[in-house]
Amino acid sequence: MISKNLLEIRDLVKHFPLKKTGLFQPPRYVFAVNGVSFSLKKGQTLGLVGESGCGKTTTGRVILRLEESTSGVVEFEGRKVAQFNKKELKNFRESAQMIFQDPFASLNPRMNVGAIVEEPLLVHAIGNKADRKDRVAAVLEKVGLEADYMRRFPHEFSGGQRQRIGIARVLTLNPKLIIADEPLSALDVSIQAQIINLLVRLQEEFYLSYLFISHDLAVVEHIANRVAIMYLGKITEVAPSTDLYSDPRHPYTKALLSSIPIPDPQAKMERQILQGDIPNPANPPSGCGFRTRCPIAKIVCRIESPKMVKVGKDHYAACHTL
Amino acid sequence: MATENNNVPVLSIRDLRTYFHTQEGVSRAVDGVSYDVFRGGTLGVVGESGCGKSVTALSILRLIPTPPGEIVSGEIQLEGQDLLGLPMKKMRSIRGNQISMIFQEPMTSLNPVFTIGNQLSKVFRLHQNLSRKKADKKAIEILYACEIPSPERVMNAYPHQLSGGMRQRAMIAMALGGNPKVLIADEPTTALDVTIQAQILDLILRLKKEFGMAMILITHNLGIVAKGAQRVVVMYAGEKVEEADVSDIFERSQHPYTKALMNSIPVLGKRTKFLEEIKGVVPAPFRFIPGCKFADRCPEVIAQCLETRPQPRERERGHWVACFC
Repeated sequence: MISKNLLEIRDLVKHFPLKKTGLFQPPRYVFAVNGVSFSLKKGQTLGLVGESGCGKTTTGRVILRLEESTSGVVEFEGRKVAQFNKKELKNFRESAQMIFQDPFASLNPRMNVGAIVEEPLLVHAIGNKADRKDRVAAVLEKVGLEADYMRRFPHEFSGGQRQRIGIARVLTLNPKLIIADEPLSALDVSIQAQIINLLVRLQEEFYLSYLFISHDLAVVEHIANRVAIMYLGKITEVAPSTDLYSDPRHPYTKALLSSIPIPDPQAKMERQILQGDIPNPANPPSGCGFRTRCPIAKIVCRIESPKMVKVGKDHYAACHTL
Repeated sequence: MATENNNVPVLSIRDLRTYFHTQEGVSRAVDGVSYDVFRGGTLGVVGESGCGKSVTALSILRLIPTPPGEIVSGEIQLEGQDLLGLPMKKMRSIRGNQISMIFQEPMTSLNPVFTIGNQLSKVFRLHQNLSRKKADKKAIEILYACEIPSPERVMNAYPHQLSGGMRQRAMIAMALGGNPKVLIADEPTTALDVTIQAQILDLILRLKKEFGMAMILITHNLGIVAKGAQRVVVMYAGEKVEEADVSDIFERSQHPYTKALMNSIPVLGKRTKFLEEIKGVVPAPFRFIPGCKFADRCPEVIAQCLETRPQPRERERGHWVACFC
């Protein structure tokens, strides 16, 4: 059976072991990703939103097998990624790529732009020298940079331009899936708009699918078709973008939305300010991870972790009160 | 209209120029900036990287490393008293006492090898000459006022043992210890998680009111400006391009940069296909630009913009714009 989803994740788990603090201590883990499931259709954007320690970056890395999962299934075009052999994994990486958060750390400072953007073609042995040069020039122009920039080095560019170089590097292989991990966080506000628009244009032109990881709800609302909210390694709510913002059902989603200050001095907001800090993912609360800050927590929340239930069309949330 | 009910500026900056001498040339980080902060008011200073908003704040406290930095010219006055000419000994008694600052990254501005209690009570021992016992007591009181749940425990903790939000609260406590007249908050919530940002912003605004301080709120986040500021200064490439009451900045901004900035942010609840872009990039601070620094990106540029630098002019009451448009 051919899956109509480009990417499907089922019960994904990733635990990082911590060093033992004593000879007879029990093993401790960081429960980074603790049972995550979602799917992504071709040409669509899924936003993955959450705060520190929620596991969104780890999820992205496990999907690309930059880390091996502890358990669970990652399926790309209907095939299980964990079972790929070396050759299949290499092919997979031609189709699934990542854009990173830090435009200063993700480019090798000792390679010029041409070499950086060309590298994926070399790794996958695509084309000859002339073909590669043409491809690099074409892809640089697609992201709004001049082909001439090939000769320059990363330090000669601004943050926004370096992020464009990172995007160009990803595009050289004609990928199907792009995981963008906080691609805008290190950029100035007015540059963010440029990069968002670029990503939207490229998606249309090349029918790309994005997994857009971010903590910025306003940006995600703008660019994603569907949004999944994560907290302490689990998805708390997932819905089509418009529904999540107009009709949030999970108390964490409501708190997140009301935490964002609106750029309008007249706006009267019903502010739901959460008390307390985000728990340590190495020591999550029993039952529902959100219960320590939840305004409507009940006894059952302490005992049992809530399952995802349907609360609307394509709209799911994990909360005992629903 | 302006909500300040007296026109006495508690802090006044006139034509400040702070330059940095580097190998690549002279970086004109602050290039002729003037603004006032009124008693009990909050001035929001908005701009992107390199606009000079932080360097202006550091200049007020004379925390600019010299060399390579240099406050080349200008006047800074606290309640009429000149600050730039003060001997360093006197300046030190003003820092943390009459003018305090909170920074973006609490982990880099708290000393990692001393406990919070040690650092915090120092404020009271230094500025109020209290004994250690009395200073510790005051420190606990102010930690409590900053919504830290178990102040005694935090007194004995080291910065790395606290979460980001807790560290920021500790830093706020240190800043308030001297009961300052002016609090400079430089991107106080940027490094924090979204839900914690909301807590800290609320705390700062509440404490400001309780302590009766004036505040300079430096940020690139227009949502925070809308919530916290009464007057707003917009900076670009070392200059002030617009200044007005907060409602005027949002509803009737006049400078092309301010307008473009407002339109380029995605706002919750207002989804469009494409955001308005500002083409190009901020000019490198070493380049000497004879005319307006925004000219090469401005959609309303005219010939005069390239030759002459526009000065801020009061277009309407309380609304200043540096533009020939």
